[in-house]
Amino acid sequence: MSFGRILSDVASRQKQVIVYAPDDSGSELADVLATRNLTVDHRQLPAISSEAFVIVRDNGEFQGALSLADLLSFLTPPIRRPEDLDSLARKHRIVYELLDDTVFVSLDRRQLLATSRELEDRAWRTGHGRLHAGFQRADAFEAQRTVYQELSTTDIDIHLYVPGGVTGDPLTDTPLTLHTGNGERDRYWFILFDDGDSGAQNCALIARETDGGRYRGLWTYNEALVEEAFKAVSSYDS
Amino acid sequence: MTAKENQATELDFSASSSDVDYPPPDDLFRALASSERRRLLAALPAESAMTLDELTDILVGWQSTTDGPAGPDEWAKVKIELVHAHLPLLADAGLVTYEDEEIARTTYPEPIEELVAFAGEYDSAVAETELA
Repeated sequence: MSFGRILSDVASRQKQVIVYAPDDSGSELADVLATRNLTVDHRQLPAISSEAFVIVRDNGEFQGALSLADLLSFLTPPIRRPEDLDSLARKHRIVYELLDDTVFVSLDRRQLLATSRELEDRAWRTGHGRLHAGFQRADAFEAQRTVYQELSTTDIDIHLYVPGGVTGDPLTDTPLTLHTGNGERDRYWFILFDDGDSGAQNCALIARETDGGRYRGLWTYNEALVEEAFKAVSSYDS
Repeated sequence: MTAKENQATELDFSASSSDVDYPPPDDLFRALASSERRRLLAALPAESAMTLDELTDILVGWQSTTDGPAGPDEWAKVKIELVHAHLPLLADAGLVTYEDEEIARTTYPEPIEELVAFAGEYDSAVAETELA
């Protein structure tokens, strides 16, 4: 399965998001969620009732409800993993289950960097497993070089994909595997991490540049999907 | 209480007399004696019916704005309470009709309309005070 296939598979799962609000709040949600696999409907609440909230249905089945404010803060990068969200962990796990594999977001470069950093931090704190990171350009890697040099001091098996190879120090003394000339893979910005253990820290980000410096893609903590993403990376070599 | 103050709450049943059904007071006040049921009345549109699932969505969603995200377990619980407790009480008081999983507001006599509206306003005023 290729990255493109993963993105289109996830995009084809139909979820329905219904925004209930006493006013027009939530009208921006369709843009935030970059709606390929979500339909966003709006319904009016009577003025004297609740503040805005969101209902998520998957193939018609109720999945969850949360306030619009909670949803918007959850979607603000860097995207956090629910157990990082202190005392509300259980409740936020519901949000995470609601949106996992689903968030097919439109992000700009700065937001994508923030999200990448969250995944890299997670790998660093875990200290073992495997990490595959793809850069679309050599200069994109150079900007992150120190991060990966530090990561290479851990027990993580690191694979970097940099089209045309690195332009700075050739990394020959650094314990990581560098892949150059990667074909279709080069079109994606990706970070895949497998903790090599319980899978609790597994995560993946796959994004592709669209127009005007925006990226479209998904992030997931779903183990099966992370596994698919690893298979996708190696499938380009066969 | 002066005569003038008393007049503001005076109920005039004479105009409507025989063609309007007033619920027995205990039924009426029991129906309103739960925040779930008052929310339900506030959420029901005056003109159109709502399905049981829609109404459950709204009550669970409303709750999530104060209690945090809710999942399918909470949803199932709220739906069961609606069917087995809240809707029968409201239907007994004549405040809603409930048939074939469709719920609608009945047309209230004016004093009842004012009472239900007041209950909703009171709830939202108290909620705002608690937030502040």
